[in-house]
Amino acid sequence: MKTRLLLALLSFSLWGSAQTKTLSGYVRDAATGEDLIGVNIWSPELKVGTSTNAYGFYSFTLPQGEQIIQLTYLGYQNQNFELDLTKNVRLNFDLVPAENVLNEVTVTAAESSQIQEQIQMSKMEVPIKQLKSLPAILGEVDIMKTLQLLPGVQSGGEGTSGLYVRGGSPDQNLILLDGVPLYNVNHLFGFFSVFNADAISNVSLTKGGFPARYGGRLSSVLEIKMKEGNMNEFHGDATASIIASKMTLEGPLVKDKASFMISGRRTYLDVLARPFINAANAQNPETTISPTYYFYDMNGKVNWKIGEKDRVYLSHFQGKDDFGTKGRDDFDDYQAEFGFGLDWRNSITAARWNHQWSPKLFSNVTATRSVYNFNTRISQEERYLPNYPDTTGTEESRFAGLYFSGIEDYGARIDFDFVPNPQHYIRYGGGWTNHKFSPGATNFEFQQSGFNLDTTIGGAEIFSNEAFAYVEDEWNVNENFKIGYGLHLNTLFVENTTYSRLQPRIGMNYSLPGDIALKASYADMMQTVNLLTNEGLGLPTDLWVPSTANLKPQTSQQYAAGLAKNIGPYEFSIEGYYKDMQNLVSYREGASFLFSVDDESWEDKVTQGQGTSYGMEFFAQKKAGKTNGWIGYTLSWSYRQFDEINGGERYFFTYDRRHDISVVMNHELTENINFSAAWVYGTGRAVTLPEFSYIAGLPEELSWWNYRQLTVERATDRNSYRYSPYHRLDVSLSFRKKRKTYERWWTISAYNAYNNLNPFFMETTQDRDGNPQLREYGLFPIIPSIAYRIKF
Amino acid sequence: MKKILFIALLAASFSSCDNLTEGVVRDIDLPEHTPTMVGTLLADNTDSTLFGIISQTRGLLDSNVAALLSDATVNLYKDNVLEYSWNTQDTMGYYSLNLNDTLGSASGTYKFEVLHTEFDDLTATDQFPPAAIISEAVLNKGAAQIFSFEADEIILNLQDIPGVDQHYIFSGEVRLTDFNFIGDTSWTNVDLYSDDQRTLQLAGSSAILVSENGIDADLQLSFASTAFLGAPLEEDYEYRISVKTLSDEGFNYYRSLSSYQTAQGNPFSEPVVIYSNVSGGYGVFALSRTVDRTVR
Repeated sequence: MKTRLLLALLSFSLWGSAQTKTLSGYVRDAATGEDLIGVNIWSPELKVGTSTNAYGFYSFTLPQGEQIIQLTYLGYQNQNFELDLTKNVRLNFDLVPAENVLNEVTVTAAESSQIQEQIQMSKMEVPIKQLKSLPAILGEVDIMKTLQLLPGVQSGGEGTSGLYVRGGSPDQNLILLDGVPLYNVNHLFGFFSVFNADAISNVSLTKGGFPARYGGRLSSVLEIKMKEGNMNEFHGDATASIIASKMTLEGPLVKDKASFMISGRRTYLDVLARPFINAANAQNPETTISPTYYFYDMNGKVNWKIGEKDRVYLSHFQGKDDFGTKGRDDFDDYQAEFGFGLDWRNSITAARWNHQWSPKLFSNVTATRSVYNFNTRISQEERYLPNYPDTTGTEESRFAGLYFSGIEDYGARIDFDFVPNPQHYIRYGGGWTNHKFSPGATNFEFQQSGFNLDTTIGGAEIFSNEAFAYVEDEWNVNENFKIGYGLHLNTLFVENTTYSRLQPRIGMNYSLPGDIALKASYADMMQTVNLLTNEGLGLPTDLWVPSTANLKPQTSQQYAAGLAKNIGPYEFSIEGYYKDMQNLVSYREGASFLFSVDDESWEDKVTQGQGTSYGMEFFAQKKAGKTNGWIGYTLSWSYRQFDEINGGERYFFTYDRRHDISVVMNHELTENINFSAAWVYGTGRAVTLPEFSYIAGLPEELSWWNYRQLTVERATDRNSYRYSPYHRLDVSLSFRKKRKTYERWWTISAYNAYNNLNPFFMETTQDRDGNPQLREYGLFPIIPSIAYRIKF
Repeated sequence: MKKILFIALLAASFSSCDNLTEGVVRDIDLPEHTPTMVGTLLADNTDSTLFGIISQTRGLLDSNVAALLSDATVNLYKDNVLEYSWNTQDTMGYYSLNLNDTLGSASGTYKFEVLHTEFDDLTATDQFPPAAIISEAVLNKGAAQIFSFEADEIILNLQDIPGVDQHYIFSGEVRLTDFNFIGDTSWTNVDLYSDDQRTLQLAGSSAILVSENGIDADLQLSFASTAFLGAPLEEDYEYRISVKTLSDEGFNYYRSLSSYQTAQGNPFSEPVVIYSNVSGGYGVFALSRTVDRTVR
């Protein structure tokens, strides 16, 4: 061991002292000019390498003289370059997509990029091409639904977009769209996510072993990068499915200098349903009802290379859901209008500036804004006309209620990448975010006979400031041992209270005989924003609230260890993890935001407790080739323990899932016909079912005269009952045709192909004889769909 | 291969069509429920009658409604010595025992036991908590407001008992010496109100529940109350505040029961599991100690 350490130190010092030169620049897609993230740059002779960062930048320091450089990236042709390094060189590489010469040799990752070589563990990547080939509900490809098929990641239930990662809740996922936190990912009450796959270039999910540059959430980091736009040519991509259409346009603003990408999607359920609603209303014109629903989202991005050393990016996303119903009574003596609606909207904006200070030092400055708002509205207007019985003149009354909540963030951060030599990759930086929370306010207006009331209840705004700084290093100690370590310091200032936590992070990779990598990691995390959510329903009424003077930040410690190995084009990994969580937030027993008429604030309705989750994940993946896909299996346990819930006893988290299996396959039947299928199985969700009833004794204070009893329903324990297991098969068949100027696809797919009933909720009802019975209700039977896509 | 896939998909679709007529509903067969005994005994040092409420559980799919149980024997031990044993039910069906005196609050561990030939025995233990020490009680007439009406402010200072997590129930009564001009001097229940975040108004009750909640320090609480809402207050009246100290078991039971009643009828409420500390079945055994303070 001592010898190895000595050799490592010697090697480090040699790199520092020998005559070395640095090669730096960007790696791009030769066809589109887009920067490529994570391209491996490798010296086969020296057995050292590096990779491009999130902006396609690399820095590779090598001994002076002739060198061979190998570039490998999944889905692109491998490329070798011979260089005579006599000085520091800035060199950009263009990689050619392997799309047209697809075979398993060209797209197989080289040694340096194999899973067994990476320090980072618990990180999952699904190539966008593979993701877009998978079956989709109602023809809409959904990134979140695909991520739910990965081991360690569970869905909240039928049709929901939330991610439950290693026993965590959805608010514990840091979802970054172009580096900006996004607070709500749901369209259509969670049946779709807000991410339009046509506008996305890269997706990665990290479940553990978090590097120090990440912070602010306990369970995962989901990074989604928007396309930057084709630097060379103008292109478009449009899809029409059963419920929505979308279009993406991209191209150069100034060739090789600046590009744009704009993408939009909108549903047309409201437009399609309108003739039917009008026809139904025509049957009874005196009383009409008009329900409506739509969502839209829009992504836009501009990037501009100012010079060799500087680039700026501007990206924007906004999306909105609007659901409502309007009714009207129109009689001779009485008129009324009523309305009810929900709408929620996200908007994020990011401006970024990249600068290369030296061949070894790169920086990125980002300024961001993220807004999420949710509104519920209800209104009623009545007019009693003079001919209405017992009315002398026209009498009018109006009632309107509006419940609104939201969160608005402004933030800035700076990140540095410093690559002194191939043995070390150092990152450091810091940032600041200002949060403004509006945790639920209700406004009432009432007007009648000269009486006017206009009042707002609750919803005092809360401001907080969050600052962080980090430093991390990835150190290739020797050929067999690599280590990543770092510190993340996070401080929250809220309500004259300061919370601060220094969070150590460490990960390692030790190569065992047989090229099997033994990996281990530890990550300490802190979270200062919380989502208050009803365990039973995924309503958008869920509230984002901050940690406050009374509510401590959530914290966690996660330990993970595992083995990883590449065998040909296949990646295999097995990981075990153990996660402790403190200061988790939950509604108190019996608490509710809806239909609650008490005057308690949201802080009165919540309580804090602990959680523990542990498990084992197996993953086998083939990312490319004629047949690709993955098999994932998770065995896990997840518990919660709150002093004020379940009598203080530990109980299963509602998304505790003992077994979770997913099998995903994508197969090219011919050059133009593609078949894909995904099958998923999961243990039933843990819910609280009143399994029995009895007569409980009432204390004196709650009893009425001498009546000291109350019939109560009780579960054995909180979340002690399980829904039926969840399983579903989705299939898809797509037919491509190439024309001179465009390509088109017809895609036929079936969601829940064998029509299994997957429980969404359950209730106790009565059969025809009046006997009580328990029923599970599903949401989706088999849903066939068809979509048409054109790309030019 | 294409044909096989096509046929397989078609077959899967057709075979599932019969399910479509039923929609997406499935009846669930629960395992048959085995009834267990349930016992409740809530005893205060001021009680002169003990009420044991004994019933049995009924399964969710059982068409019979829950009912009180007959033929049970209730025993109360102190430090494993049988103090009281009774098996008679009153007209309400409760197992009631007249003590002829108050129960008192002797130190030691009390054990509640219920025996029945058809069920497993129930047992639970508890101890009397320390009595509340009211170091100061102040009445400021007309110094508070309830719904914009003038009300009285009652301030109580409770001394901390180091190392003990104290839980209290506060309830109030008022005595009007000239009520309705007939010289009524009886005590009448009044509602107490508090906007202190530490307090919980018990559902369906005028009482207030407070816990130290791990903060080991003296407690000052302020309540608003009024003898007769909206009416002019008389000069000569007084309040009697009862401070019931609950054991941990009692506190957990009161809180869960209150949450249960609050959640009734609201489908959006979080589920509530009624607290139980009884072995062999369900129910609760909890002891409490009450002190009163009159302020005028």
